[in-house]
Amino acid sequence: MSRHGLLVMGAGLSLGILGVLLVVLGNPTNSGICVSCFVENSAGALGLHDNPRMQYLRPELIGFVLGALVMALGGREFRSRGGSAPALRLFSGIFMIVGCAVFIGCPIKLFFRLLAGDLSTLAGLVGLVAGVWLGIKGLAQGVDLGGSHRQTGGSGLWVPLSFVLLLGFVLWPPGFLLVSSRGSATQAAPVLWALGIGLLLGALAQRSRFCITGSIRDSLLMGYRAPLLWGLVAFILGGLVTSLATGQFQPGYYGQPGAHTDILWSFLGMLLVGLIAVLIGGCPFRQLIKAGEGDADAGLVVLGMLLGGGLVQSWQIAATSAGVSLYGKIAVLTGLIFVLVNMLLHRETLSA
Amino acid sequence: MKVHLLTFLFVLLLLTLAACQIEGTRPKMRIGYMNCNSEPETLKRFGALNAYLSRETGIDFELVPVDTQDFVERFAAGEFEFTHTNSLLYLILRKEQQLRLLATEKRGRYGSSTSSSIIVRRDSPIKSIDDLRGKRMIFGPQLAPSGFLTSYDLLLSRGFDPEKELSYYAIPAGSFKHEKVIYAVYFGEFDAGAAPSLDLELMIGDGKISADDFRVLAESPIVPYCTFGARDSVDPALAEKFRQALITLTPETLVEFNGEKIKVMASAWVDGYETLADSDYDGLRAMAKRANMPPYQVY
Amino acid sequence: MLPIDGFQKLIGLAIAVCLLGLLGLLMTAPAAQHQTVTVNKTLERQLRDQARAAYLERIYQPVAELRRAGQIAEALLMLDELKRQYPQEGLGELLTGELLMERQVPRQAIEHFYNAVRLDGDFVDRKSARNRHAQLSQLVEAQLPQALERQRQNPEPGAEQQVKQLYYLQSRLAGGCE
Repeated sequence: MSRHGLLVMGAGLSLGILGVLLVVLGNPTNSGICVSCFVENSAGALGLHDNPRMQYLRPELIGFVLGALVMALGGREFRSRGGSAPALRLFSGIFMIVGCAVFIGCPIKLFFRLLAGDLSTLAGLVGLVAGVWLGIKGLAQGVDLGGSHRQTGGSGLWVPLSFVLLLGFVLWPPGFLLVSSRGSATQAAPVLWALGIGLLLGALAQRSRFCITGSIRDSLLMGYRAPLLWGLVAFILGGLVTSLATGQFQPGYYGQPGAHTDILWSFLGMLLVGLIAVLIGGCPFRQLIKAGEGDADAGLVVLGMLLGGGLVQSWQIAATSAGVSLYGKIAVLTGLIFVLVNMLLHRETLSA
Repeated sequence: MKVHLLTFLFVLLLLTLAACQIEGTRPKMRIGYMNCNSEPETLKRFGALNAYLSRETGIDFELVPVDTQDFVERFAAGEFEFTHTNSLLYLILRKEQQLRLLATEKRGRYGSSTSSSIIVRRDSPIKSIDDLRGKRMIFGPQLAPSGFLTSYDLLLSRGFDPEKELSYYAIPAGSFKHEKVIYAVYFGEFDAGAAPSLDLELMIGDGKISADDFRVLAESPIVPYCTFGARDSVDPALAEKFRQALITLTPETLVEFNGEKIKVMASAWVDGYETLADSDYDGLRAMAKRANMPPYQVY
Repeated sequence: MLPIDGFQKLIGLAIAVCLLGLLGLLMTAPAAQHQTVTVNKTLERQLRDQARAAYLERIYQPVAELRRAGQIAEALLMLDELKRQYPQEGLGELLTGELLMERQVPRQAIEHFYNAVRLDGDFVDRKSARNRHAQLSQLVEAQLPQALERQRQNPEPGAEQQVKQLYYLQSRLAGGCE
């Protein structure tokens, strides 16, 4: 196992263990780390939606970006780059959150829920793998959004700088910042713990390039030789052992926390996420990390995610334990149409 | 190739025609619907439901409105095969005519159950059942479980014999008897009334009365609400199809009726149907026995 | 390194002025605050929530009094009246469910508890003063096996819906992001 391989496994293991520990420290059940839930909470705190139960600027999110930034700067890997289909990436960010909101969780949370015994995630897992597979097929058929290129002028700095501002908001909360006094947003690990864990995981993820959908993608392409696959395995093992050790493993299909049993829409929601993730180069977590290391395209995805976080709450797109709303279903299908149309429009053979 | 295609299309057409039964050529049967208030109301209320049942079962059902007091006699005379009655009539028909239970109607907060409340006006000096001694009370129709039997039994269970303890009791004439009971108390014509809890709920919901207008001295135990039944000679497969058609109704179910698309449940004023066991009616049976009411009356 | 021209100097100066202005604002902000009205949205929200809770307590007071006096039927009628004025109100649904439980008709209570929690998640939030976590847990524990048995015996939409409603309550009681 190469040094990089060990690093990937270390990142995965840390993500698994610390993600479950964040629940012990106070984060919502089965949501120790959930990028989409955290984005929705943070969007609410910034006033992008008015759900009074989902407004809290999650320090973990800020930690991911800034941890990646610090590690990238330290490792001389910070590069301002971008310019690849920016508008498309903004909307991709929106639709990734749509897919996550309809499933109720990002790919990381999908695994945390599964590792806590929530069998209703299986449909989502199948959807995620199917979406990644479709994305790979698309890439093989010549779908190409265009590569990002080095950019002068420090365009890749703005999103990380914005997160520095958000860090300021966390440490010195201004009066206009909304903070829920009830609901799941009040369930949070202590600020410094959340921030510290976020920074650590952000740094590790930047160094190792760890990504959930990337792991699935590489496994499908390279089989057991893929280092990211071992990272995923380490993540699963770390999460499972910690889940068992902390008594959070409650196997079952029905009545799981923050879960619905709409099999079709769990599948489609995660299919959308997996498909977009492959085409734009990473799951929601990976986009945060890339934004931290200067990728302005990923930065636009992150902005799209924040916008999506506001929309899914305001427009009642987000699913609940009662199931998926009509608006959620429409949004997922719209997202799939968006992605599929762009797959057609961005085929190399078409433009050749 | 062309011949094969034509043959296939012809066979498909034949099969389609065989599957469709043109309305009017289907078997005919009748459903007797107990009149709650009047024949025109029954026809209007259950017309769409009747059309829906015809569509789902492939039987042309005729809607037969029947007055409560005539129901048993007309059923015995074979005038209809299916019944829609209150739960007391179901008990009578079951005991005397071996009626088969199909489904029970859901309406109001108690779902497939109902109850009655003994009410007085808010400013009445009557505070308890005992205070009803020597007073005037109004009941609903005698064969209505929530209009008469449940309240009558409630009084008996509290050691109060309405036949001896009340100075007078009456049952309103004409239609809308339940509403008349409630208004009779409201306007002071009677000291107390036996009001179906469902009617109180609906009238308050419509704003016809206010909860502040009345006090409830006591509420009866719950009993099953209106019930669909079938003659025991009806083909069990058809009876099951009929039952399934009822219990699978949703608020969005539509039927073409009189040139319009009608929401079946809303038109019939129901919240749905569910399957109860005959043993769920045992409570009502016990009340009928205690109150010496049909089908257990002893002369 | 490229020579700095006049345009760059001008822009640089403008940036410096803006930065100084920003710094000045931040440094004088504590002093200036008493001269301006600043918005504390969280405090405003808390006041609104408290006012709403007090208002709801007041309008449902008659129901609570009737309930304390054991007048369940009257309390239910009073709730019917209030539902006309305040439809889709979580507390009304919750009280209806609780009264039906006291009336010993738990099957009919389930839908009301389901509606109550859907309308207002505070009832399953342990941190909330209005939480009914223990009571709802008991309801689910007692009713779910019976509902599953009813569904097994009569697999019809009504029975299935009740099971779904109980599973929803179970899921909300277990926690999660909602």
